[in-house]
Amino acid sequence: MNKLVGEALVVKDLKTQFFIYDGVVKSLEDVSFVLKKGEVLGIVGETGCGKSVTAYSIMRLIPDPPGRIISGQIKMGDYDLIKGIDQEVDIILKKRPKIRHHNKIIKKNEYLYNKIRGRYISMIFQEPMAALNPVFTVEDQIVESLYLHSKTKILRVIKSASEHISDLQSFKDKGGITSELSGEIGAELQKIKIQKKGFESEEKHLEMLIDEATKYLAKKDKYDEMLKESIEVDSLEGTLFGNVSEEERARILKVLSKEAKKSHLMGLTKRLKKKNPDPVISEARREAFGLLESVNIPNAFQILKNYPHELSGGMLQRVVIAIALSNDPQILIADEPTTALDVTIQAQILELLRDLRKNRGTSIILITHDLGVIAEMCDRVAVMYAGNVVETAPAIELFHNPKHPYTIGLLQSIPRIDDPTKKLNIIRGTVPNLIKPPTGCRFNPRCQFAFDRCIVEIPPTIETSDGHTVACHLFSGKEVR
Amino acid sequence: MTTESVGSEFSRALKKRLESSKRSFYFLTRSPLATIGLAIVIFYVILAIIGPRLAGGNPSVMTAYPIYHGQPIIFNPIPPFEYAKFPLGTTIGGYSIYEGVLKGARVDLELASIIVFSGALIGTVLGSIAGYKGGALGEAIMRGTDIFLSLPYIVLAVAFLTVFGRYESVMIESLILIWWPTYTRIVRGQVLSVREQKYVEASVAAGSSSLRTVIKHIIPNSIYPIFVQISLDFGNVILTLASLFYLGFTFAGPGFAEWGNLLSRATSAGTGGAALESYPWAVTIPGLVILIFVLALNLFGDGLRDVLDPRMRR
Amino acid sequence: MKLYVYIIRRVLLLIPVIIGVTLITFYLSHLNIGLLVTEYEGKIHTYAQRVIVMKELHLNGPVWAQYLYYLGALFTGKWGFVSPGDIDPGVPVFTEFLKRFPPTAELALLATLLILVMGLPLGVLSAVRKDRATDHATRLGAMAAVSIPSFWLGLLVLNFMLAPTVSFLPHWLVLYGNGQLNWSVYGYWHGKIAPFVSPTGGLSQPTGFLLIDTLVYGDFPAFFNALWYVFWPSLVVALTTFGVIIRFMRSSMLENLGQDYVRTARSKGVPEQFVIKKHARRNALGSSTTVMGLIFASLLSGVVVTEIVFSRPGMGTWLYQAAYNNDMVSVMATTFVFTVVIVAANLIVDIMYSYLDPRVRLE
Repeated sequence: MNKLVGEALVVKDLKTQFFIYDGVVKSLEDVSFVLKKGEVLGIVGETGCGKSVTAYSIMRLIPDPPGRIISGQIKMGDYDLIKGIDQEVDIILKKRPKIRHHNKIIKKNEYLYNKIRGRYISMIFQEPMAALNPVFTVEDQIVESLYLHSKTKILRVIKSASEHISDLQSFKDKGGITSELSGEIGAELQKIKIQKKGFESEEKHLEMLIDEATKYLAKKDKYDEMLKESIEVDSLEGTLFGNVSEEERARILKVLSKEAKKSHLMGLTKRLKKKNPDPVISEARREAFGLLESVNIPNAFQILKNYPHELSGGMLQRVVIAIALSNDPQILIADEPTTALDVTIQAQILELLRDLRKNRGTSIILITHDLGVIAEMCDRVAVMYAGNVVETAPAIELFHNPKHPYTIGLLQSIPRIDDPTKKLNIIRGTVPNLIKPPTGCRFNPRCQFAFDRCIVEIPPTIETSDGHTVACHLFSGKEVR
Repeated sequence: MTTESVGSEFSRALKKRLESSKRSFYFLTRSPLATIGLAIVIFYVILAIIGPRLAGGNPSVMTAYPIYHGQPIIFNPIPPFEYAKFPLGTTIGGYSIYEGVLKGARVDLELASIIVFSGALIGTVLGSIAGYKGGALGEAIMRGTDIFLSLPYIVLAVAFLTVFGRYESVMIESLILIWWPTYTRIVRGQVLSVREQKYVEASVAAGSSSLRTVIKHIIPNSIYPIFVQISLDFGNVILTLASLFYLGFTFAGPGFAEWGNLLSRATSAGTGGAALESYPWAVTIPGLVILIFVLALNLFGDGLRDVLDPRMRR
Repeated sequence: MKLYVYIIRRVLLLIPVIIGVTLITFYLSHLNIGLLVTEYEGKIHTYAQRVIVMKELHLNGPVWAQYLYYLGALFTGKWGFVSPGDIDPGVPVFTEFLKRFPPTAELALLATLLILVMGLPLGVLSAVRKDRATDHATRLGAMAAVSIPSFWLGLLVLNFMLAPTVSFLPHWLVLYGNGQLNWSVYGYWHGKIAPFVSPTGGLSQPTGFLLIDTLVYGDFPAFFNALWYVFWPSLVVALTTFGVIIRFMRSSMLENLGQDYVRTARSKGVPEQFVIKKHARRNALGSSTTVMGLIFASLLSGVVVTEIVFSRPGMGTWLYQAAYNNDMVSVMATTFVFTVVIVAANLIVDIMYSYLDPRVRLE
């Protein structure tokens, strides 16, 4: 997972279906794509084409019932995130489909997935206004995320700060002068300096760090113990994603679930409200403060105490991004992050995402229906239609040399200000009903080039040039992947 | 607009609404509990229609048989099933429970219908006014609902019966007074949300009068929540009536065929324990009769609500 | 908005409600000369005396003046006297109220507690297990409980739990209830407030709340005895009311579990149990408290009926006896008190709501 070049996420033959009253909605049919490290992959398509379902499938946020991932692979490094998904349920397909859940297996998988969500893969959503819990403060919701995944890091930073302070003290006692900062705290302070948020902010950070460090020193044994435990838990969790036998896995899960019950998430709100919080909380708060600063929120320390309804949409989207970034995930999925925002705010948010990729090297999946956003942001694009990826190509290639009839139609349906004489081409017809999708190629009823084979045979995915693949019979007969 | 055209307008709108609701009805029949509830309610309605005729005599008064076959029933309430005349046994004072249940069905359903439907009507009218006209009048109406919602119904009914005397009309009026505000709130809420809809704005812009708007758009839209509320309130009114009669706040004699009154005959207040020991049927049967009817109404109302609430439907 | 500003605003909004309620009781009292004249009952013999009394009571003035006078009397505790024929004839109604209020308050508060303790978790459970056996059982059970006539359930509970001859409970447990203070089987006070025998020998009830008084004197057997007798009626009240809370909590939980912020929480990796316990439940609690205010009126109706069935000497029994004796003054007093209690309960609920949901304070 540590290689800088390579694949951050490989999605292969992902199949997601919704079992509703009227029948089975085949939302995703063999969706495959690759997200490379540090790139921005755009997924574009009409409403209802399965963009969001893809994102939710990767996050395993499909509401169940009615939705289920049926099969496929989502590989992060060597680890398949949805390994064993077919064991979770029995699907009995009669006149009306019936699903029998095996709750034990689901719970186990869910437990593992909770370690991935927010830690390795994060997501930001379309509606920032609704995405935050209205009854908790901004701070509460960021700290919660930190608390779930970054406890070790938090403790380490405080420990290093405290060590530094005691070193400093003994050094001073001996009459020396130092301004060297070492270890974790050095890295932390470096990070703050890089952000260039001004002297006041740096002072605030330093003040908080010193305060934590003194508190840490006061109860050193307790916190050292806490750190040790936390590291143990982390390493245990790490082994889960490797190759372990089933019995070993069960044993580790038992230990970890006991640990999870102790996570004290319920008391977090109360602990945050305390006048004199313990160092863990106050470091988490400092971290949250830094995160808000990093997403360019002015007055970040005051904003921490605000409730979501007291902030504007653009501000909230920044907070949501801050939450998503809180544990330095490798992959960020942005599901139409700018759709609900004003145009000026949109630009700012996109700018922010671009910086983020540059500074942190996060791989981003950007889901949108706005081709303008794609053109501005993405390295590569996957075009989806009715639950299929119909074309993937580098962004520039796609705009200049679209292959699939649907992509062509999509590009032609954008009004062009530079060419007002051009007539707008619209794609005839509507998105098909996915309970009974068209046979063969799902685009065939709307395709002007459709021929007999399109109605019978599902088109294979063909690589026409380097990194440009298309699923269309017009191009088969050429080199098959 | 003439009344005639308003009427036809209304019926057309309602018909349209009902046609579009075939799916809803289908869903309702898919919910077994709601269907059972509906069946039981229909059974009780039939009972209310034919019951008094089956029992014979005055349709709203139970006959007392203090002495039967030379035996004073009051002192000898041994298993009554041997008497064909009293298939469900008798209470203290020799009232036939069978007769009481049958006649009570009509009495209770009649009283409750009057109360609930008048309440719904008054509430709907006031709610339409409050929602549509708004302003000071609307505000006054809504404060009125606040006031009447903060009156405990049994207490208000008792106060009314004490102050105005124990008459049927007083009891009915006092209960109507309690049961209108919910409808006002429902209808006003509906009006406020429907009025914002584009199609209503369009029809107003096209010159539709306010009466026409209310009848064509607002009432058909609020008819389902009202219906749900009626089915749920009906049970509550039955329970309240039974409580009042059980406690002895009645407007009629001891033989009045009302379920609560029947229960009160069975226990003769204060000797519940003795009654339960020596003739448990007299205490259990009327209670179960009320329980089953109210439960059926609730099951039906709840099922209806689930079906009509698109958020709950899947 | 600060919380206290919200509270003040909310209290001010109560004024029209209070005025409306007092207008109703004033109207009802006025119809029967009412409240104030009874103070002079038995003292008016001649026309001249009557004129003096009428003048003294402002009964000659315009209606609004009478109403103001009525309000003044109401808020200074001059509620008239219990009429002859009633159980405590001649006692000031306000004194009687002070005596009658604690048993009712105990019952109502315990019932509220039971409703919350039983209703909220069951609603959450029902929502989390939607469309599974637990959900169906809970909903059906709750609906059945709401459909039971409260007096009938009271009767059954009274007999099967508290009467030694019919009770299901082991004999010693039933008898435990009436062992210590030698109270009667069917309700411990026989319609009178049981004087509490303090360890020093004197009859004393510092607060009137039996549950508190017994504790004040450290008489634990008496405390459990009192608790035993208030538990059953409050269980009856709770059972016949809590279905609404279950239903509301369930739908509120379902609604909240479908909200975007729950999805956000899950995307952070919050374990499902905390998604439910922290995120969804906290929000659902807010809106469910409003229902608590709405059902308080029906809860108090249940309290009145149950009190009469269990012959607890509280407000309900007082209303019952007063109505039987045509004691208009007492009937009006109880009506007024019950209404004020409901209004106050709604106020508390609103304040709790604004505490639970910071958005409310914005309005």
